[in-house]
Amino acid sequence: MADIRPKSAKAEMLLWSFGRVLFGAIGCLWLLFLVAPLVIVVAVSFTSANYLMFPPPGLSLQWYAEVMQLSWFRSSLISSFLIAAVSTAIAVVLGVLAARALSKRSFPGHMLMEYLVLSPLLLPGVVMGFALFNVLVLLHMEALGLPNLIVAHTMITLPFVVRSVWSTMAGSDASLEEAAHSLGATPLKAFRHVVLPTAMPGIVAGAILAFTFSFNDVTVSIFLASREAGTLPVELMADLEYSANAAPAAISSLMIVLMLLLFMAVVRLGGLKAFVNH
Amino acid sequence: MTAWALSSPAVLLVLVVAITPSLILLYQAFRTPDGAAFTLEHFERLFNSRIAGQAFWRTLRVSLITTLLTIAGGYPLAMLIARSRERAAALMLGIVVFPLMVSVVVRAFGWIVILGPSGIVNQILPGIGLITEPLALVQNEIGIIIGETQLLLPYMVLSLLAVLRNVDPHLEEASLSLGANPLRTFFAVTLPVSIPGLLSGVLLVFSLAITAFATPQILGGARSPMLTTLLYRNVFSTYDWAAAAAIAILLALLAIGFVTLQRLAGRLWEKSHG
Amino acid sequence: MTDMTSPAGTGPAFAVEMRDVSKVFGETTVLDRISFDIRPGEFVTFLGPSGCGKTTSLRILAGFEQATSGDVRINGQSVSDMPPWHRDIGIVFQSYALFPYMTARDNVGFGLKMRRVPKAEMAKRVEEALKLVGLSGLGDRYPRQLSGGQRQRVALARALVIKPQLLLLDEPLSNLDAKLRNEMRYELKRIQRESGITTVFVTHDQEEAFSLSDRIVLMSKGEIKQAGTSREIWEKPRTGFVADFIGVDNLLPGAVEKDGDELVVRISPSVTLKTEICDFAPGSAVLVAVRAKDVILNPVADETATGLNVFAGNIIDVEYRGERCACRVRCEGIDQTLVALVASSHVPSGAVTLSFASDAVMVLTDDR
Repeated sequence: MADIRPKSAKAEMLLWSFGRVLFGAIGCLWLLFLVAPLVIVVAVSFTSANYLMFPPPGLSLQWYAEVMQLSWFRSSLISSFLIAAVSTAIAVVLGVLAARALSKRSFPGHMLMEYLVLSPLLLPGVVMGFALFNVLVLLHMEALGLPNLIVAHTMITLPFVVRSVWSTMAGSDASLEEAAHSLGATPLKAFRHVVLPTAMPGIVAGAILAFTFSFNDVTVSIFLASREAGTLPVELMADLEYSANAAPAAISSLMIVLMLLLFMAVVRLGGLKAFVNH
Repeated sequence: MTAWALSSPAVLLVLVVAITPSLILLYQAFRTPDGAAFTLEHFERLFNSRIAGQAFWRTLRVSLITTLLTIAGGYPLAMLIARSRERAAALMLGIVVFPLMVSVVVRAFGWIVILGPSGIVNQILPGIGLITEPLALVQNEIGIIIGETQLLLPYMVLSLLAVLRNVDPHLEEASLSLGANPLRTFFAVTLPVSIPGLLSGVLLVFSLAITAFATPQILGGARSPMLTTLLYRNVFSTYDWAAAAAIAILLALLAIGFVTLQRLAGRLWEKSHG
Repeated sequence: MTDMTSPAGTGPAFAVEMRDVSKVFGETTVLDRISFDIRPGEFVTFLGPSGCGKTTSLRILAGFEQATSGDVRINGQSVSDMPPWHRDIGIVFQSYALFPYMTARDNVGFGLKMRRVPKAEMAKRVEEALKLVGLSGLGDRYPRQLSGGQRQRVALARALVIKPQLLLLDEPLSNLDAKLRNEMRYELKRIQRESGITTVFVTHDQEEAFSLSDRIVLMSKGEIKQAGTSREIWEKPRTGFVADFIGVDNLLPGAVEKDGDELVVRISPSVTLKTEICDFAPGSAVLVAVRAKDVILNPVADETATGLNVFAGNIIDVEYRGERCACRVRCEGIDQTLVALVASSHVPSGAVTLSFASDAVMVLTDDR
């Protein structure tokens, strides 16, 4: 039989194996691109210099000590925690009830309810923020700060809770609840002892996502934050314009570490599924 | 209806805090300054303004380039994750997803440290003699594009991965065995099967790029306003709330348009490909 | 099932030659120095449990994996530096791997398009291939509009239309239901005969392997345990693993002993078995295999039975297998129960005498 091998076969084979390595390398470079800003921020936060420079001339924790003395950092950190915690708590209660309603098979207006409850995701953050600010100014309530932020954050985090809880409720076995009814549980008891526990992973994951989103939000908050109640990202953003030192880097690093802890909690709870089914 | 009773607190919240303010804004965008009559003058003013025009085209340009870059990064990453064994795939997926949980302010600040006038790039490159003048990498469109690509690449990867994960891994091997080299296999097999994911990823990334605020605010600066940052400036610097309302309506229309398009495309695809 | 003679011609003697082929993934050796030849036109099956290395062998032939060491030749040419897309190999996967957005016709024509075959010729060859697999007229359907069996046929047509040097079938029948599987089995054999393409079939199903193959390569843990025709493997399993895999019911571990001039196998302190052929030295640990069909059950308890390979026992269970029944017998002095086949019309019960001829006793290495 004639040699069917093209002359280029050997070269193509080499190119193929080289290509696979190259492909992996390109992927790794993109991964590096994704983590670069985070890694760099943490790296420069340990600098001993008085201004940002790379590589740091020496290592020190001075900027962490410095940051702890900043009054705006302490007050905005407390505000952010307070706002995120309270709005998440309210959003979880409202979200679980709404998800429970949405997980019922079909009723008039199911589609409408879905659109309504998820609509805060639909509108751009700046539009939402400006629209709220506009109304608050009309009502002369723009100086209230904290309560405004809590209500607004409850609204923007609600869809995260609803989606997360809804997907676990939709994925769980409907016959469980029917079994509970057949064993004599009232609807309320069945909800409390059967539905709620099975949806718990979704509730916790949704709560963490909501907390994260609220804690990190700038776009809506920047319209509503008052001088007394500024959130951490909003204050950090303002500070970036003025300071050329490593204080923002130290604050950023603390925020990254907090998020890493929450991220690991989410991964523990439901793997990465919460994100993949986005 | 018990379903509506259960969801009434959530629905009420959304109606009062999201829908009503948006409708009021909509009303104000079409109202004369004295509040008396219906008018299109705010939109006319917007379309005739040089800054707004620049911001509009800049927004489209930046969003388009950002989307293309996320495609360029999304395919290698999604394909790599889809083909890797479980542990390596989970690790890579974690690296892709984690940045989503970090504040956009922190990420934009990271880019300033890397790209800024006294940033890492501008300290290393002159040092090895590649450039003499510092490169302007932030306070312009380049900075916004880099920042938004990092911001939105995870969404593209997740969209592509949702499709590629469910594709039979033997499909590409079948193509190779039938005589298509890896490049032709990509264009003849991998690309066509990933179209639904690509489509939803493109629409999602593009709409998020249009509506991004903090990233262009920090990395674009005052000299490179986008629609969102221009809106902010109109509210807090120039106090032109009517113009801000007009921009808000434009942004809302764009965002809702893209989400509708995304749903429609998904449904059409499902219909034609069962 | 006898050897097919090579087609006349001056081609190489073997369509496939594998010499000392090994494959190592990290720490695990998946293939351990496999050597095997396939004659042109032959239908050869790689048979074995999952993880035995059969799929890896197939993937090495296809070019998706590279052998860690050893040489693979297809039609006399070493293919170690030949990428899959130049190998001219047709593959049918278990999942069929049809391109979902292409019609059956476009699927079948894909390989020809990649080879830049002129349109007219391509159309003709695609129609021929569809006809060969019995799908004329369904060319415009998309894979999702076809049944499992039809998808299977499209995949086969797609692999055959390029007139490959070698056809590889990776468990192509296991996604079909039982009835369709039998039908496709016959079709596969017919199509392979008609096209005369050298075929390698990978399966874990011995029935499929025995009914289809000219030769079977039985593998376990990366090694070839036995290669031969279906009849050879069925009648003369060479190792304990082979006997176990093909379903020999009675497998008894023992040790070879010298008894006068003869070698016997001791399977318990009180029992030795007489055998005709024993290739092991005294003292070797072996596995004795006796087919259930070779075990004779005498329905009378014969307390005086003392001859060799004759045991008194009690039936403890009867399993209905159609025309025959499998009786499980507990014999004195033997730990394991023994299985004997009897006609379903005359199933004994209670105490019986069990015996088998010395030439029914196969003495094998215990490599299970």
